[in-house]
Amino acid sequence: MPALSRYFIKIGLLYLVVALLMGTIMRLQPIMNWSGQIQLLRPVYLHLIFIGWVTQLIMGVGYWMFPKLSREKPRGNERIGWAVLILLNTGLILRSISEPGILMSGTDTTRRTSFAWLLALASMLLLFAGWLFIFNTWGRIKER
Amino acid sequence: MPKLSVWMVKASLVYMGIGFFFGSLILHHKGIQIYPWTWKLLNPHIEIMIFGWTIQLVMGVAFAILPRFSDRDNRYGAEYLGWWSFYLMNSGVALTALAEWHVMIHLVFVGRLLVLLAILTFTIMIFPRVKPLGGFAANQQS
Repeated sequence: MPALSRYFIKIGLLYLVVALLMGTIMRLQPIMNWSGQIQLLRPVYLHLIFIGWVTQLIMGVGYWMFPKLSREKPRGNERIGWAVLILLNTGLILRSISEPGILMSGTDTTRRTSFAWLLALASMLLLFAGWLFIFNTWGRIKER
Repeated sequence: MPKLSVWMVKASLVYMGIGFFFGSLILHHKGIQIYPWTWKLLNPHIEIMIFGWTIQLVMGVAFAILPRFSDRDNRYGAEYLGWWSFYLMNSGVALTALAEWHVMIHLVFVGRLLVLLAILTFTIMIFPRVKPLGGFAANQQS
């Protein structure tokens, strides 16, 4: 299994564990009478599962197992693959911090603005990661 | 990779690109506002990412890698059902996403019905292929 695929899958597994821990805490919140602000984590929880786990698992296994692009470059451009890994995870971590950060900023406009710009940056990083993956993978989807 | 799988996986990648774009706009808007209508993209985003991208990718890969038949003309089974599921799925997802964007609930229902038919058709096709052996291995005498 290529190194890039191992990174995608192992990191994906970590996201799965963190997301399910988060989900468990969210379910416990009304039972244990904890702060309702915990439910603000819902979009983060959903995206840790769908992007952190599902998408990265697909990317890791796809990078490993999709048909070869060519003899010279069987898996396409490996640098782009690493760029996708870094962009996707940076974007995901930034959004995981900024999204609840904005909601919990209250009346502190400076803090709110900082988180807002980080969130905008996260959105661009995730978009580039997704589009780069498609660009790097498209040519490999073919009849052998 | 069989042709049907190629079409399904490539279609799923197109949906991934569109879904990531919608998601990026929504996320950006949560921080720095762009267009007032950006929130309308949320339901289409969810539809596209779950059905257009994830489920269709799984369908395409499953068609390629599940055990094949050794005793039929078409080793992949009733492939025509697979093509039907492809057309139904993609028209269903596109219709549902567009209808959700414009909040047209009756068309959302029609789109969802098409996706349901797609899944049923695919399941009927693929079910017999979920078996212990396939292809060359099934022909060998032990």
